[in-house]
This record gives sequence, C-alpha cells and structure tokens, in this order.
Amino acid sequence: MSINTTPTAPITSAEAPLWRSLEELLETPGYQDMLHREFPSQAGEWTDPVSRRSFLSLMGASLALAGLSGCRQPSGTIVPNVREADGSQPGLPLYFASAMTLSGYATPVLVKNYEGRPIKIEANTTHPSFKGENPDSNPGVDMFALASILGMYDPDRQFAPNNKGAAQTWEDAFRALNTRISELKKAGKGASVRLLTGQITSPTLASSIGRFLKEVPNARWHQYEPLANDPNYVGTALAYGKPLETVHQIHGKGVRAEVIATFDCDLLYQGPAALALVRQYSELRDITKSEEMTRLYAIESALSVTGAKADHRLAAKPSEIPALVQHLAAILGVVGGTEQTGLSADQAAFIKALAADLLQSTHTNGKKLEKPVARKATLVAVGIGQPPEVHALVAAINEKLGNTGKTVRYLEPLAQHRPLATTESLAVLAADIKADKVDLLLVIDTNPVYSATGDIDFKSLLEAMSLKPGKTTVAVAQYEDETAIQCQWRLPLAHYLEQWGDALTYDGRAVIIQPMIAPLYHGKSAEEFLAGLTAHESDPMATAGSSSEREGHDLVKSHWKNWYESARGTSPDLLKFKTFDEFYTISLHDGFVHGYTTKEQTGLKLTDEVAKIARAATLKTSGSGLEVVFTQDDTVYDGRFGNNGWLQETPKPITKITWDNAAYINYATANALGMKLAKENKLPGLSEREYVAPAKEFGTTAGEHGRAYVDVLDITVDGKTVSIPAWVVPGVADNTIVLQLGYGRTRAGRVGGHLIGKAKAEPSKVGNGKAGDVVGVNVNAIRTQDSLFSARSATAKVNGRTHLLACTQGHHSMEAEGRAAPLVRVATVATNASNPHWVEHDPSLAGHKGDKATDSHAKKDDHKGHDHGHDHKEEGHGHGKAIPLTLLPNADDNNPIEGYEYAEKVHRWGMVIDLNRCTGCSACVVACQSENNSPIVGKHEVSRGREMHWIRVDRYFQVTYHDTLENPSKVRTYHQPVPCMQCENAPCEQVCPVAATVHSYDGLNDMVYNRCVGTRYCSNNCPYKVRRFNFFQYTDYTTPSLKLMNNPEVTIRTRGVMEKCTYCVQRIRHAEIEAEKRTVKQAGAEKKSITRKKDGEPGKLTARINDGEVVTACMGACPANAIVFGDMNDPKSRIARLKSAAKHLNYTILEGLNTFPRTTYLAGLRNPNPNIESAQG
Amino acid sequence: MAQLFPSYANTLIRAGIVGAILGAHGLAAAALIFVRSPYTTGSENAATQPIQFSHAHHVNGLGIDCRYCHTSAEEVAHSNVPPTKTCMNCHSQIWVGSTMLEPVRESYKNDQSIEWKRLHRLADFAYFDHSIHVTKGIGCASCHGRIDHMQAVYQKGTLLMEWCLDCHRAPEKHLRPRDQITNMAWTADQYHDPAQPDKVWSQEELGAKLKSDLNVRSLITCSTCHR
Repeated sequence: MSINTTPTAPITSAEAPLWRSLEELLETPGYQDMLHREFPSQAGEWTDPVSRRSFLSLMGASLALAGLSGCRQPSGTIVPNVREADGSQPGLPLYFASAMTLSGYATPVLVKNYEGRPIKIEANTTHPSFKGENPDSNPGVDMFALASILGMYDPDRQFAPNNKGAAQTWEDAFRALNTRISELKKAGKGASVRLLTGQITSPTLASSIGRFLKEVPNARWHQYEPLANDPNYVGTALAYGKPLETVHQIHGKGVRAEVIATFDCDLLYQGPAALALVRQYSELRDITKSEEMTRLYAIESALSVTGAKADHRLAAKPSEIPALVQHLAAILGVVGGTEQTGLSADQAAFIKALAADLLQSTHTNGKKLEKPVARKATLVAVGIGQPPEVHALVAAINEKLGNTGKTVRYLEPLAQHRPLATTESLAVLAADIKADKVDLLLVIDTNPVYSATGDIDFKSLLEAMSLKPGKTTVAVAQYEDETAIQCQWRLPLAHYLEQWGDALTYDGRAVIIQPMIAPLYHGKSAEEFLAGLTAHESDPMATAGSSSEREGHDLVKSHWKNWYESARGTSPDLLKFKTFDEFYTISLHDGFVHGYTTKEQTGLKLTDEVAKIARAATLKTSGSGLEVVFTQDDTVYDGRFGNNGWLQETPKPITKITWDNAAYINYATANALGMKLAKENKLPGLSEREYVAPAKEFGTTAGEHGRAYVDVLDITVDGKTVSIPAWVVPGVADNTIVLQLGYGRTRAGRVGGHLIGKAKAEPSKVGNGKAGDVVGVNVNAIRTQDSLFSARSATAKVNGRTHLLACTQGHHSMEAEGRAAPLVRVATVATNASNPHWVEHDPSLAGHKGDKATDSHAKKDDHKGHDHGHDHKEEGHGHGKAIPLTLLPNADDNNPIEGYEYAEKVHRWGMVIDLNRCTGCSACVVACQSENNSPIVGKHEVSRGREMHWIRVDRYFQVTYHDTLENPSKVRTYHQPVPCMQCENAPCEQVCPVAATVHSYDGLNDMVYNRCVGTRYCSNNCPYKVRRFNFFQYTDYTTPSLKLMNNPEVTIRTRGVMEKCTYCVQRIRHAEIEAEKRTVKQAGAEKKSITRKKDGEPGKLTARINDGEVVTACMGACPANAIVFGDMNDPKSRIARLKSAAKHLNYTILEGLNTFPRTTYLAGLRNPNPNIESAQG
Repeated sequence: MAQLFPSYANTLIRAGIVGAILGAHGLAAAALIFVRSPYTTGSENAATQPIQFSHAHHVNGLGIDCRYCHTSAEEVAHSNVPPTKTCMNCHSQIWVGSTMLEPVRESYKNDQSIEWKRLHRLADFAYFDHSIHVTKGIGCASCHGRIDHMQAVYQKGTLLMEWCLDCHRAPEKHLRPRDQITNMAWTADQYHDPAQPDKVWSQEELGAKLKSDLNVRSLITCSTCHR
C-alpha cells in the first residue's frame, strides 16, 4: 500500500466529502432513516423488556407520587450559622484558588463554593504559566479538573480507616504503625520499610517524605506512575549529561513557533502543559491576525487530538517513528544523524519537506515569497511513548534549529526524587518483596496492582505479603481500590478539594492547594499521614485529638515560611511583601506562590552521546508485523478516574466512544484481520428491531450506529493475550493497534467496575453498563517493562465474540433537504486569501448551486425592511438567502410588551465558535454538565442515544472512501461543538403545545421545565438535534453526597422533562441583576436617570452588563478560546469585535432553514505547506 | 304498553343535567379554591418556633430596622435569617437571665445552630432574588405584609405564580422610594416632592414616576424566575 502524503488539493467542504461515520459516507438506507429521526433509533422507543415486577414497582411509584405531590409545600427548617464567617453570605458564591494534581503536576483552578460546598471548577485567570498575554485570552481548564468535583463527592470513596475490613480509627492506625516502625528500627531493619508513591512535585510532601526517611534510617522510597515523564528525563540526561525537565513555549514572551512538528506526541491534549499549549496554539492560529498561522505537522501512529488539528499528518507505525526522527536529524545536519534507507518514498518526501519548512519559509498565506525567509523559531516535540534515545535526538534537533532557550526550555526535573525511572523502581520493590526484604510497605495514592505492567505480578506479591505474619501493608487511597484491598490497613486519603498541599505546574511554579470543605470521608492528606508517623515518634498517642486540617495547614505554611525567609533576599518578586503573612495570603488568593520559579538551565552543551545514539541500533524500522501502541485514555487517564461518571460518559474526542476502551485499527488492518460484523450471530436478549441494519450493508463498519456490536480481537504480545473489542478509526497507521490504558478496573466503584469477591472479569460480560460489571478491558497485562508504550510483533485474531460499544458519533446527525449536511466549513489559507467569499456556500442548500446570482438579489431586498440586527451577511452572496421571519417583534414597532423592545435595544446575546481554534478536547462538555446539573445515564442508555449532554462535539472525517482504505495519512479530522443554537426563529417554540419553550425578553430561547409535559414535539422539530429528554429518572435524588454537588442556581430536572442549553441563563440573570443594582445605585448617587436605548443617551445611564461579566460554562472552560459568548449589541464586546474582524468566515449552520441562530461558527482554516502540494500535486 | 318512565322523570333528567353541569363547575371551582387556600399555600399560618421571637416587639416597639438582622436582603438573592451572634449583640447585655432566651444562649455557647421553621418556601424551580426587588423599590411589606404587627410571623401572600405575576405585570402598584423600603407603614401619600410641595401623590402617579426613575421593567418571561 502506498503512503501518499499529498493533501487533497485546496479543500473547501464541497470537495472531499465530510462525514461522521462510514454509513454516512456510503449513504446507506439505515443511515438515511436515522437522519429523519429526532433521536437515534431506539431512543424514543421502549425496547427494554419490562418485567411484571418492575412494571408494578414503576406504577406503584408513580401512583405514590401522584398522591403526594401537588398539594402542600413541604416544610423545612432554616439553620443559620451561629457566627457568620467573614465575607460569607448565604446564597453568595465564593471563589478560592487551588490546584488539582495529575501525575504530580498542578493544574491551577478556581473553585466555586456555595455555603462551603465546592460545586464548580473554573479557570484561574491569574496564573502566569497559563494565562496569555492577550487580555481576552482565557486559560481554560481540562476535563479532569472539571470532573474532580464529582470525584470528591463520589459516594464510593473509602469512608473510614479499616484493617482488613474491620473499622478502625486514625488513632488506632497511627498507634499500630508507629509501634511497628519503632520495632523495626530497634531491630535495625529500617531497610525493610518501604514507601511507594506516585510521581510527586509537591515541595511540602517531598520534605515530609524526606523527614520520614530520616526518621527511619535506610528506609526506601519507590515511585510508580503509569504515565511518568521518565523517557524525557533519561533522554535529556543522554543529551546534556543530566536529567532535565523539558518545557515547551510556542507563544508568548516574544516567542512564536512558526512550524511545529510532533513525533508521537499529543502536544495539545496530553501532559501537564497541554492546557497552556492549547491556549498558545490557538493564539498562533488566530484568524483575525495578519501573521501567517503556525503550521503543525504530526507524525504519529494513533489518531490523536493533535493529529486531528495538524495541517499535515503522517501515519506511521510506532517502530518507524524513531527512524523518521533519525532521518529528519540527518537532513538537518545534526551530528550523528544518518539518513534512513528503509523509508518509503512518501515518508522520505514528507520528512524532507518538513525539514525544509523548519528551516525557512517560502510562502506567506499561500503567496510565494520572493526570497525564502529563515524561520525565527520552530519546535520539534516528542511524546513520552518514545524511547529516551529519540528524546535525546529531538533535543539535538531543537538545538540545531536554534529553538533551545526559545520554544524549548530546560529546567531541573520537577518530579521529586529523580532520576530513577519509576517503573524500574516498582520492579525493584517487587523483587525485594519476593526476596522477603520488605516488612512494612506504605502505598500512598498509587494503584500498582491495577496498573503494573504484565511482567510484574504485583497483585500476588502483595496478597502473599499481606497474609504473611510479621508483615504490615498499608494503603492510603481515596478508594478501596485494587491495591488497597490487598493491603491490611486501608486508610482514606483526602481529595485535593479537602486538603492542604502544594504542587508545581509544568514550568516549575508552585501552587498552594487549599481545602474547600472538611474531609467528607475522614480522609487525611499524604503529608498529614506521614506527619502522623514521624512527628510523634516518641509518643504514639500524641496525634490523637489533633485537628487534621490544622495539621496539614501547619505543614504547608511552615514549609513556605522557611522558603520565604530564605528566598527573600534573592527574589525581586518578594520585595513587594512586607511580611510573610502578606506574602502567604496573596499567594493563596492568586493561586500561585509569588516569586517561586524553577531556574532555567542555560549554557547546556550536548554530549558526545548524541552522535552515538544516532547510530545506535534501537533506531531502526521493524518488519511488517502488527504493532501495538499504548496510550493514555482521553477521558479516564490511567484509570484513576474510572469511577467518575462524567468522564466515563464524555465521548472520547476522536472516536466518540463512551464507557469503554477498544482496539483502534484502520480499515485496511480490519480487512486484513478478516473482521466482519456479527450479523448472523443473533445475540441473546437482542431483538431484531433493536439491531438496525447498517452491518448488513457494510461489513467492516465496526458498527458506527451508536449502538454497535463489534468484533472482539484476541491480541497477543509475548505470549500474553487480552481480548478487546475492535473499533475502526480511519487515520490509524497501517498494521497498528492502538490500546488505551485505564479500563478494566475491578475495584473502581459502582460506576467504573467492581468485581465482588472472587468473581473473574468475563470478557463477554465486560461493560454491560450494569453495576457490578467491569468497564472496558485492562491492557496493562500485555505491557512489559521493555514495551511500556509500544510493542512489536503482536498478533491479533478475531475471536468470534461480539461486544456492545456505546458510541455517539452517529447520534444527532443533522440533515438538510433529506441528506446529511456537512456543517463544518474548512479551507486552506491560500483559498481564503484568494476567495474571501468561500464560506458563503451553504451545503444545506445544495441543489441550488446554479441560481446563485438570480436568487440573491430578490431576497436581499426582501429583508431590508425587517432587519433589526440579525447577522445577515450584507453582501448577499448566499443563494437561497433566507427571508428573516422572527418571533421577536420588531424593535421599531410600538410594541405592547416593553421587555422585548428593551432587549432589542440593550442586549443581544450570541455565541461564536471558532472552528479554527477548537481542538475537540471536550472540556466544554464536562463544564456544561457540572454547571447545569446534567445527569449521567450509563452505557445502556447512551447506546440508545439518550445521553444528556447539552453541548456535543461532533467529529467529522474528511476523506474519500477510497483513501479511507488506502491512505491513513490522508484522513482529516474536524471538530464542531454544537450547543443550542438559540434560534431567533425557533422551530421548537412553534410546536410546543404548552408553551414550555418560548423566547425571553432578551431574545433567549427559554426552556421552562416546570411547564414541560414531555410531548417531545420540540426535539422532533429541532433541526440541530440539541434537545435532550429525560426518558427516565436519571438524576440521583437519593444519594446524600451527590445532592451536595448540585449547582443551586439551576433546576434539577426530573423524568419526562425536555432540557437543553440555555446559554447559562442563570449566569446571565445574575449579571443582569448586578448591573441593574449597580446602575440604580449610581443613578441615585449621581442624580441621573436611566435610559433603555442601546447606545445610551447623553446625560443618562444605561443598565448594561459589561463584556466579560457573563461567561458561559463552556466558554470559561475552553482552553483554546474557541467559544466566545457575549452581547452582539455592544460594539466593544469581544464577540462583536471577533464577528467584525472575521466577518467573512462567520456562518450559520443550516442557514436555509430560516431559523436565525444566535450561535454562529467561524470557518476553519488549514495552512498546508504549498511546497508539498506543488511538489507532489 | 305502559310507559316505562313516569312523567316526573323528565324533570329529574333536566335537574340531573343542570346538576351535572353545576356540579362539574363546582368541582372545578372547589379545586381552584383549594389550591389557593391557606391549607395548600401555607399562608396565614404561624408556626411554633424554637424561640418566641416577636417582630412586633422588635420592629414596632423598639424600632429596629429590618436590615439590622436581615443583612443580606439588599446584597444577594437570599435574605438571611440572622446568626445567633446577631441576637447576642444585644442579649449579652439585656435580658441576660430570661428563660425565653435560653435557647439563644445555648446556641451561642455550644456553637449549635437554632433550627427555625421555614415559613416562606418557593418551589425549587423558582428563583427569587431579594436584592433586585429591594433595590428597585419594592418594600418589605409589599410581600411580607405588616411584619411589624405580627407577634409570630406568618406568610402573607400565597406565593403562587399568579401572586408574583400580579406585581410583575404592574409593578407600579407597589413601587416606593428606595429610602422607604423598610418602612412598614409607608403609603404613597407620605411622599414629598420638594419640587411640588403641595402635591398629594397617589400610588398610581408615584408608581409611574418611580418606574421610570428606577428603570423598573415588567419582566414576565419565563427565565426571569425559572432557570
């Protein structure tokens, strides 16, 4: 098969087909059928068999409710505080800065609290490592941080200390452990005390551990982190002689990366810097700026978020990637680089063009320059999946390109207690346990029994050790997870929202973590736990009765006090503080420690090693066998978020699968493996009606219909086998299987999988989405120490079983004129420069192509008299331009309902989604779920198309059917977030028989839950398919801890009610009330009156909500700043400025339906290398 | 053949038809009356509170302003019931031995909240904001009635949606100058305009004037209150 790297010629959406699933591309009748439906098949029907028993219980409940409801208001009590805390008022949210840690690294956050309950995570806009130089830019938050709220309230967390299941107190635990440690010390067996943690950057925790290691002589500290930074540390040690932290900076501080090349590196999604890099990248792709957009090349095996965003993508097998780096090094003239001979012609051409582009630019915005200009800064990045040698080589390439000190900076390693590869460390520990050298094992916040590689059988070792007399095993963990259950002592660990602590961000700034709430489940932080083992060594009873909250705070505060005292003279940032207390309070408030930075390492010299590496034998291509890549899971990370329903149900950015992992392979590989959908196999419990036809029409679709029974593959590496469902993803390299870590948890909890007793995970039962089952498949079994992130010489065969996957990629497909409408519009920068009107071609009006000219004039005249501020494109290029009919009364009429007139004159809310910036990371989905109390529905319901997300991120592939099979490098991927369009002429409103969805005075499309009777006419009539219906009682009304989590500003919806995106109306109303109050008070003070005119009147005040006062949840979370919400009537607002600056790219989807959406899109642009096109095209 | 029905059957049938119609209407009327009755709305019902706090005594007798205790009414959506600390501001000095105040002292000493019975309860899907109403010239008494005459507080209005809409449709009926918000006994004729010293204002005139001065809107679309 030839790998042709040529992108298809200038792409507008009309040329290569855009599609979401293969059925769509092939226009199968089954898909056509789905298009015409409001929800995917089965969503609207009751296909679940109802037993007589459950029927009776349902009816009984309904009757009981009918009898009780309706009449009297339930009574309640009011419980005011005895003393009111400073600054707190009931009903007033308070925000505190803190940080969430992931693999040790901090993500700064702002936590919104109501009456002491954290309910929402927001971006911390002040943190210097994450905020941009542009005042408009928002640092955003990732989905892991957003979902951590649910993690804290999780009712499945471990709620009290216990010893082999027998409840104990913390005092008991400390007494027993301290006694044990004293005994071991007296016996001179300090070396048999072992500490096992994850990767840690926290300075306080590191010093706590240091103190513990000093107290217990010869004790050892092991680390295990499944997604650790080791290859990078080892690689930089090879290149520069000492391990270094590599920090990328692609925009800001005078740096602007003009070309970025990633090798197996999901720069924009994975790693501690991803959040900052997405924001920087989005600023490099700002379509309102005149500078040429940065060009991104991605060379990778899987299809990653970064690869989806790339201008050029080369799909290569994992074993080929080192060779490709090597080849690039050779062309660039890096010492020791040798040209690779084993590359295909296309690969060699790709790397050659990349090398040329890294050195100089020949075009700007598609126009050829007279003379090539040298690049000022570029970046080559490599992922943690690659071996250290490749990291060293990439460091040398960046050095050669002059990027060191600009886009690539090196710091001392941030992870504490390095260098010692964490996996090596776990292997050492395992060997010592086996050799009976360990008497006391303390496992803190890591789960090696689940995540250890297949060649370390940590589970049996730990189990055996716990059973042996004289041995003590302790797990401090948030859940009674796979590791904790094998330990004797299981102690609850506090969540980051419940504890004091600190951590470093990706670039070495410190953030202090402060608690928002007292530990819900008696947890203690790791620092407090270690303090309990060290501080009171002489008196084991002394810890009893001391307040843990105080204790943790004292530890953190005293650490920073010491640091402040020592750094005061040296750091100029500290001069502005008079006292430590001032420094500490302001550092807590701002969410970062002022004056603390990790020093950049300069004057580094490449060692001679690099030349050797370049020639080393590890960098060579392998044969033609199957290869396996292991990646971080996009939503559950390494498995630690397994029990978080929000993350489990968020469709994965690329595949849109929920509640499962799968082996991603491309079509060619699937064909080669002989995959067929099991269309003849009638599955038990599955009626003919449930199983809709696509499989019959296309054998290797892998079932893209949302509810898919797919083949299960047996994948064997080194004699070990896992059975995992296969999913076809165009764009994955040939002969490559991509597996995600993080699934197959057996003790995650009721959501993420929980096997009781000695039950075994049965692959056939896996992931039925019922409580007690296991979700997904654990692939750690086929990883080894030598093949952590990729394995060669794998074999795979279809094992004949099938598995149900819940995938949302086909759900809610939109149609226009009876066919699927590709709603993403994308072109190259060159096309954009030569034809600025390329966007104004509405695919929903396809078929009218011919009458472009004749149509536009007549229609344009029509809407003159009616125009009251819609964003109609003035040029009138659109054929079939719609006639503005709207529910909003005309502002110029003397309208009897004055509110409408007011809205027209002051606020006109709107949203713009910039497809050029959106990476599809889906943080907006989780943010929306958290803000709006959206329930999770479970795999079973998702597979019926009943997911409740108010904003969905549609993923489109753009490639011809032929290339799908033949050339994975040609696959282009786009993402399009779709919230409610807030149509001015809303189709849903016209059909609601009870007026439960109507327009508000400021033009919002309100959804009134208390009026809704559940006819679902509205969703039937919604062309954007953004309405969600509570088919069942999805919201948990009973679990006490989950009730605390809800946003009190948003109604909790019950069964039988329709819901949808409201533009976060609660936030609009809040800001509106504040603006009104402000203006009335100001008017009183200044003796002025208030006007309702949108442009104001001389001498009068306007009650205007300022730009930035209303930030919707999705906008606040978006690190790419792709979502902009605001008042389109305010010419100074960000949205108005953006809409005028990028006017020619602004378009509405399904424009021909005359709905006048307030949500519009900015078309995406690609910036392909013109030389690649002209050379090969 | 003998007649099946006697002649008075006609009358019976007629009476029956009339009766059925009247009965159906009566039933509907009864239901409508029932949902508005104090039994269902909870209005006019005073509860037995843990402490027999008398608003009549504190407001009318002593002249304490509403906002001394209900501090957040002007600031945020929720108007607070005061913390025990507020009671103790005075009652650590006066009536320190009163048995009636024993629960207050207990609460303060033991750091245990006093549990008051809730009287005003809106449905969870209705979001009322005290601060905007107070800022825009709706007095406390407009919704809560003459609290200063209540020995034990009770809910004055029905808190039904129609009750809210009455005012939202015509706010001028209840607007008052912002400095008279907590004045329980205020009426429009007390208003004094320095420009027209002799004018006696009616609520209609004053309401219309304040409505424009304070930029009061008549907001009756759903998301005003339901989110």
